[in-house]
Amino acid sequence: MTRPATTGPRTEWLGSWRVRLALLAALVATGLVPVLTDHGRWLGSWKVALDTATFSVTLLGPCAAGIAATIYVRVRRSQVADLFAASPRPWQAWLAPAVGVWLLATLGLVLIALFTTATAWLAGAYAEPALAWILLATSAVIAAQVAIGALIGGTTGQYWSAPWAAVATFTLFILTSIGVIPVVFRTGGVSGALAGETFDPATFAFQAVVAVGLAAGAMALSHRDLFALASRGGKALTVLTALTAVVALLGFSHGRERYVPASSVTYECREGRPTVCLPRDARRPLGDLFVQAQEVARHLEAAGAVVPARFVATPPGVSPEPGDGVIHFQDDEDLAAHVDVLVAARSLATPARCGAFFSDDPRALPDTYFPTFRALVGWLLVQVGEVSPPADEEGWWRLPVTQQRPWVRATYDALADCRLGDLHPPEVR
Amino acid sequence: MIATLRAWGVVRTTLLAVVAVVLVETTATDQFSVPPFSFALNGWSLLPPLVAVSFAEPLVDRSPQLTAHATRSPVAIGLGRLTLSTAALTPVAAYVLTAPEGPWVVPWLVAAAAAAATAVALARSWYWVLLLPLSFGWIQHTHGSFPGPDFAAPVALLVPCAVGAAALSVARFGQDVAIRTRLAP
Repeated sequence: MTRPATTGPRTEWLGSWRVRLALLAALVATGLVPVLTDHGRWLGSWKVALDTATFSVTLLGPCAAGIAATIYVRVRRSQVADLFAASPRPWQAWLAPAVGVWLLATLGLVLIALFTTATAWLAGAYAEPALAWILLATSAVIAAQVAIGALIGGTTGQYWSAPWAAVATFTLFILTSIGVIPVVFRTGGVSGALAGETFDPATFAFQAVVAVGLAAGAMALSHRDLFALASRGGKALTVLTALTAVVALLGFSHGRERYVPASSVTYECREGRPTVCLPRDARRPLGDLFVQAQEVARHLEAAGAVVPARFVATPPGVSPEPGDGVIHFQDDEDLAAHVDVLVAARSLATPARCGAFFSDDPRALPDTYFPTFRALVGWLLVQVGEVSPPADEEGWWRLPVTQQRPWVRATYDALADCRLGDLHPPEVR
Repeated sequence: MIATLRAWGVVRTTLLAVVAVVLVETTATDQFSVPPFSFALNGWSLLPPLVAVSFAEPLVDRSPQLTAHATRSPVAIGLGRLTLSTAALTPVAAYVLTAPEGPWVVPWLVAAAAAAATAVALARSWYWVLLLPLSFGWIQHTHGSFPGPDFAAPVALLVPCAVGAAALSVARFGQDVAIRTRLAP
């Protein structure tokens, strides 16, 4: 027995349970494409995993918009909307299919987020489930996308408009990404590791407010006759949310950033000679880097160099403690399970963070710095058996290692004391 | 005849073919950055997805009542729709061939058309749900280096795929019409 139309929103337009499951599967499969084509870099950080899950809305949202467009074309063509007008709650009856699609898409988003974050956690990432609140703002974006689909389908009444509803919604994401429109439709896709960073609540609140306002406005425009039959409270709420969105867009859209530095950074360390510390939220390569750092440090100590007791990977903008060595990753090395020994050699060859590294004046860094640094890193890689000695004309690389060590020690001392003017590449004297 | 072509979406398809040519003319060799893609894209890489949508559209039966009353066989109608799609693609492919990169691009336009025909055969009017992730994956795969030697299409594989997709499309169309006719009161 079917429920009478007067009991509230009806979602029969979504189809049978089998159809709904098929729609959910299509949404999840589509949303997984941006996730799985990311080369698994999100395995290295719970925050990146969560951000990547919200990034699935890049495709999942347009897919939901297309589904909504198709359903509203069907509603419009069946002329049931005229029957809605005679029901006690006409506006709710019109909204019900959109609410159903939104719920399905949000469920898809939650399933993808569970998949990415649980997999990252199993891969060793530090879990921060309290940050899952960003899914609320993302589901508001889905609501806006679904409403745009309903608007296109409901007004055109043409089935061919469904793929174009999807394309139009995807285009909104592109326009957000290149800064033509504010951050509203940007739902992730961070390129770094988010170490020492977090999600900005103000930006997400802005995004949610604008998205909900857009959703309300688009739904109201999708069938103005039925909207006119909405209750006074419903109409007031719609107008209020739409106006709030306009105010937010006009007054608070400038300079919005999704990610901000965290108030504090917690490190996870592994004790040894040297101790190696990584930010807890990007700790995946710690074990591998630690083992390689011990091996590289052994050769420096054999050369008589004083290796700092601790090497730390600090997030951008955070200075290491005085006396700490500097671990520096490039690209996505800090998200990988295994790092190249080059990372350990490069890091251990940086026993101090010198001011000249960050000076605006290029003359602060002497010309000899880079060739000397490369030679020291190369020497370390030769010692651990990673590379063969380069062929050099002067023959320094062919000297016995005991005769190479004085240069290594002097160079390392100069680097540790930031006496960069004293640096010179190895040469046969 | 004109009414039939309009019902099959000739206006939309022609418009899409024109958009494809304009896309090539204006952006094919331009490099532009579109997040989330970490590499610069060009108009060439967007062409196969656009061709896929324009090729798919006439293959979808948006006027099943009209088809049910047709005097021609469902296979003939399916072939007619396929011909319309191919006719829209042909000037685009011919235009692309006038560019130096054309020979690298055209095989992928044929591949896009074959993928579109298969998507319609599998998902009917929901074809775009299949094409959406496929297009995203394609753009990811191009790494901004399409077209070029890295994208030499295996023609020996492409031709059977295209023919197979066309046959599947016509067979599926005929089957759908036959089922609808049987179910009709």
